[in-house]
Amino acid sequence: MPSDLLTSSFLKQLENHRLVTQLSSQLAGERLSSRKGGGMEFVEHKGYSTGDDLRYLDWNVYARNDQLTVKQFETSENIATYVLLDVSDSMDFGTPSKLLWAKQMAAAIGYLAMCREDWFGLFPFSEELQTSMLSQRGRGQVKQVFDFIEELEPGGTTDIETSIQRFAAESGTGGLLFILSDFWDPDALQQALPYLLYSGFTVHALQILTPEEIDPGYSGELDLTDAETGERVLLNIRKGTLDQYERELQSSFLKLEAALSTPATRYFRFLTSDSVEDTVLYRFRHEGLLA
Amino acid sequence: MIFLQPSAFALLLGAVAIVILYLLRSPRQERRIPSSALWNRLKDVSRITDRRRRTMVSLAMQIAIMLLIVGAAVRPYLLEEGDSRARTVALVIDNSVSMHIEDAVVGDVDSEELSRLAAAKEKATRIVSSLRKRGTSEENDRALVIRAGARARIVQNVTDNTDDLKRSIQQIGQSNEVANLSGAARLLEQLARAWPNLEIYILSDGQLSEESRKAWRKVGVSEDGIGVTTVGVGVTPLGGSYGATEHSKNPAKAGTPTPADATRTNVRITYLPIGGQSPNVGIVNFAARRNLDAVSDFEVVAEVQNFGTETVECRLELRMSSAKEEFEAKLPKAKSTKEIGLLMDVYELKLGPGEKQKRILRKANVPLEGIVKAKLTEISGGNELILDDTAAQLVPRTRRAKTVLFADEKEKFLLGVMRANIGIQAYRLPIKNYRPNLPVDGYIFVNHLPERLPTKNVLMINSKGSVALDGRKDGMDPDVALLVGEAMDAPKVRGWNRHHPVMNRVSFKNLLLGKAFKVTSKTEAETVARTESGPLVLTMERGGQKLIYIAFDPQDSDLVFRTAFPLIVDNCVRWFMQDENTAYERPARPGEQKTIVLESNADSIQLLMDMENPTVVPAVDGKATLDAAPKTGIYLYRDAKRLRAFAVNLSSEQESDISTKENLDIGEMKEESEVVSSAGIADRRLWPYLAFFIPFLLMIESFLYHRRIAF
Repeated sequence: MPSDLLTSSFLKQLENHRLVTQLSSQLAGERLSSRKGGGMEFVEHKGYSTGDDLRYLDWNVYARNDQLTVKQFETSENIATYVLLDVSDSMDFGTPSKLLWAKQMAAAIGYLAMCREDWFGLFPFSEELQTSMLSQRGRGQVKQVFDFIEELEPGGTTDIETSIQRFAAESGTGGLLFILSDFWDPDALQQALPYLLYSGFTVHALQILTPEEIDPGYSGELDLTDAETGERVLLNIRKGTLDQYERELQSSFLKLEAALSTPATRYFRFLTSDSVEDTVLYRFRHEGLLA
Repeated sequence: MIFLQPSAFALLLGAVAIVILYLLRSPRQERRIPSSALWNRLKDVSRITDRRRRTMVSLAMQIAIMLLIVGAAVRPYLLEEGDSRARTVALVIDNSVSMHIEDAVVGDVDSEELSRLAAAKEKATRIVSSLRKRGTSEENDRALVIRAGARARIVQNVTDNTDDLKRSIQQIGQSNEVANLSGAARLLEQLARAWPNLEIYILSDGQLSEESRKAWRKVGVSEDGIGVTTVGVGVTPLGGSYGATEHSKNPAKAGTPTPADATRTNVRITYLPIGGQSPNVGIVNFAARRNLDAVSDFEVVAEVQNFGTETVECRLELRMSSAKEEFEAKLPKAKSTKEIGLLMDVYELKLGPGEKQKRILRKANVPLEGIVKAKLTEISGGNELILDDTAAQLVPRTRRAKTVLFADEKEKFLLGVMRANIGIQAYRLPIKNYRPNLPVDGYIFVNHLPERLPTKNVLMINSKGSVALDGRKDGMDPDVALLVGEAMDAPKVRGWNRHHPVMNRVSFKNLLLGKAFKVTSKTEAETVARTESGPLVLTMERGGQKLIYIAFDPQDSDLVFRTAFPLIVDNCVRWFMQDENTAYERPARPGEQKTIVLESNADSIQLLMDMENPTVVPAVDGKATLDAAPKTGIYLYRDAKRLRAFAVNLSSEQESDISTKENLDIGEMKEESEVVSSAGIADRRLWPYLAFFIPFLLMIESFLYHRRIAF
């Protein structure tokens, strides 16, 4: 399936992989669920405990051992995968732009999900949640999703807290959530995370930055203009200034890592200088996101 | 405060350039960033105002450094006002021949080299600019300008008009004269009595004769107790003081001074050395004269000196020419560039640093009259002054002095000596044939005196009686008379003046005298030899007439057997003829007065130094006096239908030594370079202090700006 976002060879490679998650859902699908249940293939026995379905009591075992034992079967399910994509003006920065890189990543995630018949939803946001691509399933929806992604344009400021609250309220059922943003406001993310965790989402926060943001290399007198707010900052850049910038940047990273250090959250940082293909195929696999 | 290099104020444009560069600093870079969140936190450490403040401080420091550089470059000197009285400044500007040399620098070391005179005028102009204006002419500082060549001339009288002073300074032209600052010293010695706070500035290369030094020292030891302070200011640090500085007893007194203030004045002499150490080789002495024993022969002596620091090789050529040859060479149609005259001799000279060599050419033959010339050629080393490379002298026809002797027949020795002398055309007449107006150059009376002395030169030997200089015997006025008294037996000679022309090379040692008259004089008669009881030989000059009185008879002594006898006779006749010989033979120097003795009674002569513009010199009583010979060379003129000549030579060791003297050596000098008097300009050089702060400011500027110290 040709696309302007991803190459055919990359898409072909993605078909051999699947997103890894410990989540289980009520949606029956192709993905093997970690939840044992009413499937067809026997997995193991376990001791009966109050509340277990009496239909799965193995009476033969009880007859021989005089112990109540419950049979467990493998079950398969479909996982809902969501992408919250930051399309604010701050993402329209760098070469290639962070937004393009994020759109390619969202497309790759979406393709991975839809190839496994998982539900996939894309929620662009800036100062609020924008028109979304609600849950799609199956390969037949890939083109529609890709077209949707391609048509996304940067604009607006970032209000990640409001956008997440709104997303949690609309999607509700939980699932695997990828948040693609530059996260220049870690405090807002920290404020919004409880809504996602309460709703049962496993959150992967993918921070996308340009190399210039890591090492600006500025010097002299600068008139810096915020891409979102238009705020101007007049600075005299010298070596000490850049050192201080790096310290502030590391502090910001630490804050993000601290906020995303719960069992249901993970934090990744990517540079736009890295290719999306290598990031998905190698970095995701290395981090255990891809199998 | 005065500025010795005001043109350096142009460096202030550098400060303007610094400000312009500050205004044209690189524009602020505009950058778009994804978020200002982090950058906003950096404002505290990197505010743009810090940068601006730092830049402003740096700008202020750079301007301060620039101002210090300008301040040092203009070479400010501090003016201190010791009292409120107006100063009188005397500017003595040397315009002698050595001031031709173009090795003077005014201001920066890299500045173009000027002639010494131009540099002296520039410095003098600056001093004039420093004169203080207080309002009324009585309160203003005043100055006068003296040009000191061969003679001192006031080119601008005392005035407070600086425009007039500057104009007069600029009008001082170059001369070929030998510096003689003694005239200026004598002039200022008189002025110092009339003007309080007199400050004398000598702008010269310091070529002072011993006579000039004595004259300047005299300025410093005035009987009025005028103190002298010599302050060194200029290219070369020097200075010092001599004499006690007499401070004013009434320093607050202002207004026009009177001679009565003389005892309460300060005279301060400041020597401003002009020029550098230029090499030179020159003829420092040149003379030619007839041999005493051969009329047709003469001898030439030339001295050449190397004033440089390197060994120099050169050729000294001696030539003989005639006035006619020189005249034809000066004619416009003369095209030949060959040296005029017959080459007599050539000397190859090799002169070490400072070495002087003398070459003498003896027994050269000159027909009647000629011009002997010396010229230095093929000089291998530095030779900045060319005027001293040539010298010339006229060797005139020798005129024998007609002398008539009135003596007894028994007088043999004296007549014999006179006849043996080739310079004397001797006659002997009895006393009865005496006439006061005989056509002779001198009279000699032995043991006699006529009733009335002639108006010509007279030698009186052992003549008894009283002599009045108005020509009468037994003169009525004892103040102007010689009184010849009684004879003394065997008086002993007590001394004689070896330096008097009459006693030249004559010795009276152990002279045995039989008798000698006792002579008394209340006149200006000079005793050139004396016995224990009074004068033995006296000389007098009055109205051009020369008289010699010898108070003993040589035949009554052993003088006639001594070589001193023909010598003293020859000396007496030469002394009689001295004016004429001097006028004829001694070459003049540029700027000096030259008297030309004429054979004719012409009322003027034309000097043909420049054939197109002959100079007319009036003549009176057979003498034409040229006020000042303008340059060196051979001057031609016609007299009695004959072409005559005289020479003007530099021939001055003082002037040929063109290296600037750092010290005038006119007193007891101190080593310290600053001597501050109670009045007038103090030698407070400020520029070293200003320059001292420049590196400190540079370090501070670098520390604050380049070390990026946060404010």
